Amino acid sequence: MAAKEKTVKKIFYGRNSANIINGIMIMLFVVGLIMLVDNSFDEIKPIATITNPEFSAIALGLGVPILSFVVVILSRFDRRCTEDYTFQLMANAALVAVTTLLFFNIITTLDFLRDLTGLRELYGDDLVGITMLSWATAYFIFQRRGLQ
Amino acid sequence: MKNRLKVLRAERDWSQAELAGRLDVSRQAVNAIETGKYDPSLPLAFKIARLFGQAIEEIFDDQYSEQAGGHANG
Repeated sequence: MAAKEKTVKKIFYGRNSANIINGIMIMLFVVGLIMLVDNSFDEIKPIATITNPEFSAIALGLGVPILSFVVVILSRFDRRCTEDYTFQLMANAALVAVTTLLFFNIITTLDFLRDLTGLRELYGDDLVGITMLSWATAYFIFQRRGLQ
Repeated sequence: MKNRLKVLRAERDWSQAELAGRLDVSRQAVNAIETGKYDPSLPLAFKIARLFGQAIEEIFDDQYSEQAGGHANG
């Protein structure tokens, strides 16, 4: 086992492992909340002009699957180095975060739902903020209620 | 899923932290298993079974095994 993996294992398997993850999740909660609140009071940002739509389409179409593959490979390290229970908590919470993000995206994309809820359009920072806030919230809910 | 982890631990007079150390998991994981908030993965279940020298089904018991037992007896 590589020395780096051993060091990471010490952190995540140690007596304080849950406290470390809890600390990280509290931080994500606070930062996500601040990002969302702060963006809500910002002036409306102009929509960026796409200078090269073909390149953008190709970059996104290829970039997303490639990056997903890289993340899958990297997640093996996560799985090996994080304790089973902690990993399950984080993985389940991440699934909730993605679903919440999709819901918010649908609400703010569809005009009638946006009018109905009074929500504004979402920007890049909002998406990150929603994901962080939702991930941390779901993590603590799962921790409290269990993974059943 | 019901389990006898707390009983087995108490029989050996181990604390949750001590058991966690033997299983190489966090104390929170042991607590979550004991309170039924979390079902361990198969590798961890095997580890627990080996540690206590019992079969997995002697430690963990779900509704399906009860049903299966009921059908077999009935």
